[in-house]
Amino acid sequence: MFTLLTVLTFLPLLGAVILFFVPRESRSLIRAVAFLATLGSLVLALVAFAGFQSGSPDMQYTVNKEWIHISNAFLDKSLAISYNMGIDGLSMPLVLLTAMTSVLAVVASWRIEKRAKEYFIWFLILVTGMFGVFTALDLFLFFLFLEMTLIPMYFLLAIWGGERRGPVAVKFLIYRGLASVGILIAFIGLAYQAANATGTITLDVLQIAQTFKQAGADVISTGMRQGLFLLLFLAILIEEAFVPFHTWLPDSHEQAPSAVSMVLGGVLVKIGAYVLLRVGVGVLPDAVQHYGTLIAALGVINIIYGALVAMVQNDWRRLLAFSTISHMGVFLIGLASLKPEGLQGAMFMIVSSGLLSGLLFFLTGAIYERTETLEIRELGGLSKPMPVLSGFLLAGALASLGLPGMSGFVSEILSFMGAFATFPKLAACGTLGIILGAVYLLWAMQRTTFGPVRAAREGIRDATALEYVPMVLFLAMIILIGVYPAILGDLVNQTLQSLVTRIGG
Amino acid sequence: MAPMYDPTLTFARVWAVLSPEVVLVLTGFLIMVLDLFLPKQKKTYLPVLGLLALAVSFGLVLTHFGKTDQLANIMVITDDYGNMFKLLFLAGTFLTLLMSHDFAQHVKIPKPEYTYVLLFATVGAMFMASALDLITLFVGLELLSLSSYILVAIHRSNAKATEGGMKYLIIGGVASALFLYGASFVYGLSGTTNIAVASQALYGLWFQYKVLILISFVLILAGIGIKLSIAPFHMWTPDTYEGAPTPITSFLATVSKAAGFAFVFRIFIWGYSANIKEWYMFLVVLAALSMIVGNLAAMTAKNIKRMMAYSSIAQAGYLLVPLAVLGHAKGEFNLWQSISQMVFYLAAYIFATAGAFAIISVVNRDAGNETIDSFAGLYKRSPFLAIAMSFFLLSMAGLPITAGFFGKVFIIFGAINGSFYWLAAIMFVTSVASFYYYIGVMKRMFVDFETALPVSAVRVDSSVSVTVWISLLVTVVLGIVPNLLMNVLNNLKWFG
Repeated sequence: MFTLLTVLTFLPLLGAVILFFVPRESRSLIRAVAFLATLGSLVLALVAFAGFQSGSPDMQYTVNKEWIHISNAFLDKSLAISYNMGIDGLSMPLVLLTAMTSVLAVVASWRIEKRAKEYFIWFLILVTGMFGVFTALDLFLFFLFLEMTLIPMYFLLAIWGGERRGPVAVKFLIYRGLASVGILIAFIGLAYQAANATGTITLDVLQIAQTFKQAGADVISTGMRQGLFLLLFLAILIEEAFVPFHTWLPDSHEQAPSAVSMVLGGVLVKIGAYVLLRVGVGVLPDAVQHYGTLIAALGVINIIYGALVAMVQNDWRRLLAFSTISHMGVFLIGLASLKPEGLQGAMFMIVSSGLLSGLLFFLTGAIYERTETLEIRELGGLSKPMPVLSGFLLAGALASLGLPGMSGFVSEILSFMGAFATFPKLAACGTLGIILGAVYLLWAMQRTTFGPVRAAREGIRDATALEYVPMVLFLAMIILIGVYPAILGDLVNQTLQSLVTRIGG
Repeated sequence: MAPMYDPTLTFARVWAVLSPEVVLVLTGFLIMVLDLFLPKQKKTYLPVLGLLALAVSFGLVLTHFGKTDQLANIMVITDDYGNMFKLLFLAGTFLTLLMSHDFAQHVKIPKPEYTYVLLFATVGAMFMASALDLITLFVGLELLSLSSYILVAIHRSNAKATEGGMKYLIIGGVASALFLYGASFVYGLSGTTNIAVASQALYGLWFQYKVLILISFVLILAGIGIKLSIAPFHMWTPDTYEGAPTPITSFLATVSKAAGFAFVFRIFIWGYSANIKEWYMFLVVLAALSMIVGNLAAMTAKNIKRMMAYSSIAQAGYLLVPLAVLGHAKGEFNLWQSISQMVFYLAAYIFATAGAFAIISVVNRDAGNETIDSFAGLYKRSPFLAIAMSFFLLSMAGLPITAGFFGKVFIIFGAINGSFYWLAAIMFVTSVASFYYYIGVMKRMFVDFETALPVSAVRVDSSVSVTVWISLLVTVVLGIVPNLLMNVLNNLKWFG
């Protein structure tokens, strides 16, 4: 029961429980508990990474215990809900990303003064939910953790957000809530189809995938598979803030405190992508193949639309949100190609976009603290008073637009390689996004960091020692993946290979 | 089987079958007498006596499990089905009486009367769960109802309470009349008031008197539907819930409602079961209607007790689903399943509701009003109450790690298992819609610090703390390991 994954997942929650008994006034103790809880999870994630057998496509560190028994769930057969956890090449990088982002987000929350105790309690509950989503193998357990991310995030937005926090938090809740409902219904449908085919009910995602692979079209009809996939895909479009269901993301990013934005853009918005890989490609590869062109077309729309809208944004946070949407479009075309390199690119894109969100939202938060605005019109000449912050911002922007030697470049190259092999015309349209990306990012950089310095900003300080920690770590990871992609590639390769072999088989 | 007529009604026989009820009745009378003779300052201990009696009664019910026995003269049976419900009633009344302690310190209500009337109401509910005869059932129903009328209006100087009590009295009277009229048809057709005997007669006469039997069914359903507060018989609920003293509202929402469900299962499954295929659609429609009406109306409520009233209408709808689903049942196995699902959800609902009302009574008094806004910034004023309330609300909404979530999961699975997909879908969708108003209360507690009217900490009496802790423990423990209760339920011999 108390295996590595269990402790890793529930340590932040334990921290939240401890925090509840810490008096409101002792802020340093509160921060220390939050930091230690997330740091402990990071250490455990690194331990898991060190012992990870990247040569095997199987789940590792598994734990599987029956938890709840429902005696007549379907066809008068009983259903066991299990506490079933494990990680493979798909989840390992995301667990690492979550661990890193959450520790650094706690560091970024150092200055939170308003109701700090509650802030960290909600935050730690959210972290446990995020770990759980990536480690749970039981569909029910997964859904439980997914809900566990929803409520804390709502409160983090609603209490610590900007001026329009109320409506934006509600918008977040409604959008993500609808997405959860869609995902739940799709899961139930998958479980039932599998139960119909085999006569035993299970919620283990791997077993369901196996059932779907073995069952012929006469057992689980092609139409049913495609219908389930479309439902899941629709839910993920909302969950992941793809055009046309994207409007909650820029709003949330604009209103959220920067540390919350780091987690939101860095991890929370990657959950949908993970589900699409794990359940979409894992269980319904034929349907993904069937709708490949549609998915890729949506990907291209996201790339171009995200980039075009980012160009006209006046607020850095909104710009970054649209840039994320554009990046995740690249993820979609990589995934739709169903080629090994495309899927690898998609996986790289999730991690890369997560790291970039973490870095850039941290930076915008740091800048906002000093200038009290993130409107590009109001900024200008920041490189004089804040050379370090501006430098990191430039590095982040360059990584974001896909400069070689950075993680963004690797992700885009791999995704487009896969996409060109499958749908050359669409992929060619998509490459336009790379150019647009360069345009809006560099233009925004130029307006922010160069030009005349505003008199009011003559004396502001540059980065403090504490702020160096997240910036350096994020950038180091981005560059590490950029120059040595194998570190991530080796992790995901085996699992992706075993996914690809299912396709058309 | 027709029960043997037993001419010797000795105390030993009564004690063997009805010991829990006997304890409560005797304690009730004892409190009555003590009320006359004790000096004023000693009377405050009388509710404690009531609590003790409830605890003893609870223990006695536990000793009855696994045995079946009956008292032929007054047509009362003891079986696991009745025992399970009795436990729920006793728990609900215990919590009601516990939270009343705090309430009574601030509102002038006569404590002794309050205590023994509450005990008598519980006895009425217990009879409804174990009677085997229409007459006995009716006596139990009336005992519960008459006691409830008194309790709702017990705060005499309060106009709202009097209005609520009056409304409840009139509607309750109509309900009793409807039930009696329906029961008279059963008696006229079968010549007996014994449910088991009547059911065979109804089965035999089905083709000849189908219309009459259905009329009797609908009349009984309407009469008891009022007690259950299912749509469209729910009109009295918001007014009465709002007017009644908060602990009594809790009593109405938990014990009184649960008694109605005990009764519904007993009479419909025993009496009319042979022709279930002909009438189950009534229940399906009422369940669907309650879920929709209750949840939609709750969204518009401004007063927290009214919101809870509408929410309880919706919950009654969920609770009807297992019974309605039996129309598609394939075997006896499904019947036990359905009862288990209902009892589990009822347990989850009772503890969440009692806990929520305990908090509501404190918070409303603290703020001086009963609006939902009285919860604004509660987290700042009392973190414990805010967090406990969140769990109760989440349990009613059916979000994970609460008992209510698994209660809903079991019921929805049951509905799907009976291939009632659309009913399961309605239940699912309305549950999702209900987050709107449950989370709305949570938002006020945790987010709206600026509009918080009282800024000082809430003073929580220990009696309320205990009520909340008990409810919270049950809600969370059953939300993490639901099989603790579900395994017990699945292994009961319900009807011996």
